[in-house]
Amino acid sequence: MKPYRCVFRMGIEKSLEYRADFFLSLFSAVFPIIIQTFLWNYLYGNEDAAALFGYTYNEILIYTLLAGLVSKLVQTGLEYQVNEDIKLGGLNKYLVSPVSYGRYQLFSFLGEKAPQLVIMGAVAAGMIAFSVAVLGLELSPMRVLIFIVSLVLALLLNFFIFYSVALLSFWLTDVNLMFGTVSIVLVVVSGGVFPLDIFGEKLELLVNLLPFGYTTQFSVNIINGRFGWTQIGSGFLCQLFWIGFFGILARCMWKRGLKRFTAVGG
Amino acid sequence: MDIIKVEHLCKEFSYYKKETGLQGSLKNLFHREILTKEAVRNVSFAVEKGEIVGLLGPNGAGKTTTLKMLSGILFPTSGNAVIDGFIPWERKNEFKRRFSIVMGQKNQLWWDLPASDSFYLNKCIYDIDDAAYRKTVEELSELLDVRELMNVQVRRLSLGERMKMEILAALIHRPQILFLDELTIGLDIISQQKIRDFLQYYNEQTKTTVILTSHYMRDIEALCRRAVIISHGQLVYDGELSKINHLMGDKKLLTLKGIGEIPAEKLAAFGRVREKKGAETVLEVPKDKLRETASAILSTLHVEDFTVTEVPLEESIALIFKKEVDSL
Amino acid sequence: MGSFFEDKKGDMSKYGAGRTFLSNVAAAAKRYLHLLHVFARFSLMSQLEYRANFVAGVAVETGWMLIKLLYVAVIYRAGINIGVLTPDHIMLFIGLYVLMTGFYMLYYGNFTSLSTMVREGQLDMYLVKPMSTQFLVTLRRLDFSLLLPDFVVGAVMVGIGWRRAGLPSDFGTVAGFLFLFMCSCLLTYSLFLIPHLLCFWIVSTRGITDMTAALWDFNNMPQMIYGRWMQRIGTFILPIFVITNFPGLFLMGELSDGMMIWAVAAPILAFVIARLVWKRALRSYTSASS
Repeated sequence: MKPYRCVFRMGIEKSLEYRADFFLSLFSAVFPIIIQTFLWNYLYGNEDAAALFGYTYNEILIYTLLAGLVSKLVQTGLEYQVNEDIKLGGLNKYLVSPVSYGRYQLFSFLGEKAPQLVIMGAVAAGMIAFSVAVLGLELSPMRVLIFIVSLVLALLLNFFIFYSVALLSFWLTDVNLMFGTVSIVLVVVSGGVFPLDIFGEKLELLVNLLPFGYTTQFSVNIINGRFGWTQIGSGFLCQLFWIGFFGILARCMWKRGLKRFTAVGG
Repeated sequence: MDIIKVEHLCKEFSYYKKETGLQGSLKNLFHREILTKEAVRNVSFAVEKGEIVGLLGPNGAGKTTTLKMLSGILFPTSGNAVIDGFIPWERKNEFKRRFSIVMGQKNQLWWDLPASDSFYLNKCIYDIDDAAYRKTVEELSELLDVRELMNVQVRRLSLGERMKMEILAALIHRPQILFLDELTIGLDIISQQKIRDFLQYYNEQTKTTVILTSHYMRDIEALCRRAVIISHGQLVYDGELSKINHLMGDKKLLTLKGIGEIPAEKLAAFGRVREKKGAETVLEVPKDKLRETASAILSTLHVEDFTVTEVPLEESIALIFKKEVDSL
Repeated sequence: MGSFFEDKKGDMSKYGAGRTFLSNVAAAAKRYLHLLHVFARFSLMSQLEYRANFVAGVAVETGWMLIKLLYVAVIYRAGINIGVLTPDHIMLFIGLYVLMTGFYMLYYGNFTSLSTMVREGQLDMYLVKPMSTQFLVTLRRLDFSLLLPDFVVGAVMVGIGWRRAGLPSDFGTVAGFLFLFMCSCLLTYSLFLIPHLLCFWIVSTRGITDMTAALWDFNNMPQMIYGRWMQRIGTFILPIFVITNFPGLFLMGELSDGMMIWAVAAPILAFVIARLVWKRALRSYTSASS
């Protein structure tokens, strides 16, 4: 474990080094929330939207706030680094050293996240307090605890999803632009912008079957009290299943990709 | 006529000091110490039209920085340079049409397209008319021996072939001045030789002024009569390449092979022993005493084989660098 | 080989003083347009070298677009009007947003790769070319795999919205619309280049990319859903609303004369500012980098 502790620390250093970056990125999380809030204002102000969407005005605002936050919390960014390593041959230096590349990325990712989590945690506490005081969110300590557990799993799941996406770099060139769009798309299908069950039961079912909802929507539904205990239980099982799934997928991709990488000669 | 005139050129870079470790990062969060590095210090020289000048120096001496200032990529901190009537860092288009820079580490060719496409792009950028463009490409591809490769994607070319294409691309607009930075880096000996031959021929034919930097002494020896040597940002030598040895005290090397091993103290009487491996010894002898020393050795020692060589240029230059460091 | 220097001077005289200012401008414009054409051709050729990539690009962009269509679905589901806008108008506005995104994405890759170019010094090779470095660097690579889906779907949405809302389609309206659309293209380029230029001063630009992407999304919905103050800010201070709302408003006859002038002035102003920032950025590059 020792080398990975080192990697973890390096991750922390990196995120401190690029702090302007972090604050800009945090700041930009505010925009979708603003846009969404205005949209809801409009939709709820004019029609009987509550019945249509199945969320009251306050509920949907709480959702928007928390989802914006959660999707920022689980956001990765390692795909750019992995792509660069594969394309420019930086991978070689990991191949000859006794650390596993996947684990290296994981710990570096967690390290980079750590200082952000401190700040985001404070922001989250503020937002949740705001939701409780102004928007009438009901909160129990138990739910907060389970929410935190689900967040940790969501973070892992999102890591494995994006690590798999990143490994596509073995087969595709020039993927940097695509990554940006992929992450925008995934944020939305994870329910990071608005709850996907507003589109009716069919879409809700689809979301429950797909892995993406478990990176964002699931955690939000725990803290906002929308999910009952059985749903939470099955949700955790799904989350674990998908973590395993993407873990194995990434492993397979890594093996095949590496064969290709060494065949081409980097 | 001096086509390039450089006077008291200086360049400083500022950068942040970063202490290692997490503690350093945290400290950096609140306070950053700004340091300056003098990359080029008070460099002056002039180059005549049609000359090939070698810019020498160890890594980080300021060679590339100097070239970048001369091509207008970098702004100097102080000092002047005039190239063919232009100040490079004003970056006038008219000036840009008169020179070209090729850097071994940077490419301008489109990776996924044949090199000929990149040539065409340069034709458009430099606004060359069709006839002149065709003629240039034809003649140069012949000389560089890349005719058959014109329609091969750049990514499929070997390093040497790619470098030839880079040179061709840089010559599309027939610059009067050519800056070459570490062109032959990583190339095999044959490619190096070919590029060298080409540059020599091209310079003779077109009287293009060339400044080049290289790690390989051979490039410099083959192409340049004159060398400008920079060490730690300062100019330490400017003159004929052949006179560098003279500057370093005019010594010759005597390599002798004795019949059986000759004791070192016996040899030391004739000159400084630089190297001794079994029966073979290399002695350093002042040039003006060469004759007498040689005959003395032959008459007193049992020598089987005996050769006289120049001190390798690399060594003299290394000595110049070292002297520079010592005097700091 | 001896011919190398002989016709040198002839080629220089083309840029001499013999020509009038206007014909010089025309010649330069022609040269730049021609080069843009060459860039487009080369980019497309390069892209088609990697077919899997091209297909993946189209697929991902299509996914993005489907998500934008979700918004249209929400609006139609709720069946609401936003101010004077019926759902059909909203379809037109969102279509304009999708269409404009396609054009933005066409050269967007150059903005994001700017930071790598600065860091690795690839900019050097463009600085020594006798043309606008900004032009060469920001329009060099054009991505058609991203343009394609956005362009097709955006155009269809605009067409459907236009027809269903019963908006006029006489020559004057169409010409005015196209003109405003082109103004918007210039505004997009200038406005979104500026934040990316920060990469000349800071190393990691992930935050900038996130930020501009989030800002761009404001046009996902017609400006009328935002509060009065935000509309003012988004029109005059950070004129992102001008980009997709103004051409739509013009079609509806809702654009006042004053706003019409602003629709033309804003892009010019933004372009001038972008130029100034670019020059600043370049100066910092040339005086600091190693």
